[in-house]
Amino acid sequence: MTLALPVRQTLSPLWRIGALLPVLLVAFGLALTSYSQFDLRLRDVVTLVLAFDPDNLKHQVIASLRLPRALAATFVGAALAVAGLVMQGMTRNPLASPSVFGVSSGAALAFAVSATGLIAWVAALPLLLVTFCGAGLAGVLVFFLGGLHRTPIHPVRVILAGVALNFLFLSMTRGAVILADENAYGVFHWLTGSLGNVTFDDVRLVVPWTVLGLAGALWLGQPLNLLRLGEERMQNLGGGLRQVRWLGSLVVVLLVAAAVSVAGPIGFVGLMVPHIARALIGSDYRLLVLACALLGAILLLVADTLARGLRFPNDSPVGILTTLLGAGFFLFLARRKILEAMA
Amino acid sequence: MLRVLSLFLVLMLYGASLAEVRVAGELGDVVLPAPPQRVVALEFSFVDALATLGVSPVGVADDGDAARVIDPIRAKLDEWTSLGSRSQPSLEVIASLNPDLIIADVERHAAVYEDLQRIAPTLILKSRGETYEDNLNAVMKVAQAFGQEEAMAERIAQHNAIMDAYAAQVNSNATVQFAVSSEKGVWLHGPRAYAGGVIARLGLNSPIPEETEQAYIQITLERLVQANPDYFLVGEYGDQTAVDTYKQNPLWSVITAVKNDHYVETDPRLWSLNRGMISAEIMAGELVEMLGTSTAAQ
Repeated sequence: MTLALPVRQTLSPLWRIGALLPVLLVAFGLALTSYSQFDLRLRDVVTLVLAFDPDNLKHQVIASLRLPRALAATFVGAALAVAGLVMQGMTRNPLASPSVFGVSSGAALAFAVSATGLIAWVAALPLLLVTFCGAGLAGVLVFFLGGLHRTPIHPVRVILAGVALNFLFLSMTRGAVILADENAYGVFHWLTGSLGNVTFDDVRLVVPWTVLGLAGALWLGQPLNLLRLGEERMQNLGGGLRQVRWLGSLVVVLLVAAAVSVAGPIGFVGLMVPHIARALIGSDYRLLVLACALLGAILLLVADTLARGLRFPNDSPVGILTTLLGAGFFLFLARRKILEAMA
Repeated sequence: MLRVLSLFLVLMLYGASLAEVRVAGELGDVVLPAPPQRVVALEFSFVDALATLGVSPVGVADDGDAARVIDPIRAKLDEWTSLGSRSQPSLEVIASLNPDLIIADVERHAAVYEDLQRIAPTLILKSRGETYEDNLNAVMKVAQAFGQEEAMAERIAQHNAIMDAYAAQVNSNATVQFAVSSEKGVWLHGPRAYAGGVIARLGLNSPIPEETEQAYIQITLERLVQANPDYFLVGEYGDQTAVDTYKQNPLWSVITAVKNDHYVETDPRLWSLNRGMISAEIMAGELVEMLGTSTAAQ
């Protein structure tokens, strides 16, 4: 086995991760300037960084609207991608992701109940707490219904539990929206996942929790590497299976709740990005966490920029684009699995 | 004997067809054997029309809250039974009221049109997302169902006179924009929306004349700053809504309406929910007052 990877091989993926940084910068710059009726240019970003002029309308648009939006896209993208990676690692199932496993929809349901004011005392609680509880509840349900507390886990059982819960939460969310009707006009839109109205308050909310979640995911890197070898083997090598699963679940819930409370349930980022990352840098989870964070940020920045252009000058929710992309990706993945199984 | 009977039958049918009224709905004609006595309305715009005719509906899909109909309209009507939400009115409650006419919205209720017809004759008209002109047409159709076209034509002429009088008081080519704001977003009511129609009726302009397809346009602050209305009216659903987060942003004060203190918070029930002549006249009054006080202040 390749527990101790040769130096040459570990270096190369690190360089590749490094190469993602300039890509992230370009995507960030594009997100700051593209599709605006104010004719924003990268030059405006540069002059803004050099000397911010509060009376300059372009500077104000970039600094007070585009910047929080781009920052939110960066961190939400990173959070969702890493949450997907940890879920796939924990369940050893390539189809696992927050949107397929009901964790996003659990958080979304909690948000919908809060935003429509169906239960008055829930509406009074802070948003992050509400979505965190929703994601947490979904996480706990998938954890036990899917049999993650047992060894060995049954991959099909985990999927079935996740998909079933996902649909349960989706239908309950729809129910909440229908019951509240006109008040829920915005909720319905939000359920597609959108970054249109994020502010610096949202950024302040998502950044610390995402950073905390990423730190947890990095710590999980080595145990997830061991888990990849199989559950028995991992335990033979001294890995604490139970501990990994609990901490992993906590990390996933934390990341998803932070992302959903700011941007709504943006679908499929957590499914797509880990696969792209694996194709790019291999299967070492310590590196995959970094790569997924960067790739997730890039993907969401680009998707949000494109979504803004979809019906320019009006905004479209970014969730439309990621779901379109993701559904195709999902089919591609399923097909490849079937072909593999047949071969 | 058979011949006499059939002659009698033919005469009866003929007589019935004389009394019956046929109104063309959006999805088909509705035939009413006699002027309806028990009417249910599945959208607020029809309540405005019924109030104009002096007909109290027995049931209204009022989202479970009669106060969603503005007071001037409610004052003209008896109490009604709530039919639940407008998107999903309770068919059971509708049936239990034994209506002889259901007035439904083609946008919201096309899917249950057949079910409604099984309960009672159903007149399906434009309501949600209708234009100002659509509304006047729909109102006329409602009047037809009661055989009151003439009275309604008179009322519409009176309405036109009132609106003309208001329009004459407006001497401005300012841009005026109405929006609703909820917890998760702000929607501009464009030129196609009812509020946009009332604004245009007074000879005022829209800051977004290019938005001719959608009635309601969800926006970001960036779009709003770019549209830059001279007057900005917002109807809020809730205490803390998306427009309040806009106010925190330095770009908020760049908007002409805000700069000149022409940002007004108004009643979303009046401006968005209760589309109809009664509402339009109150809206026009608000607009004239807003423009008047501001020119006086200058």
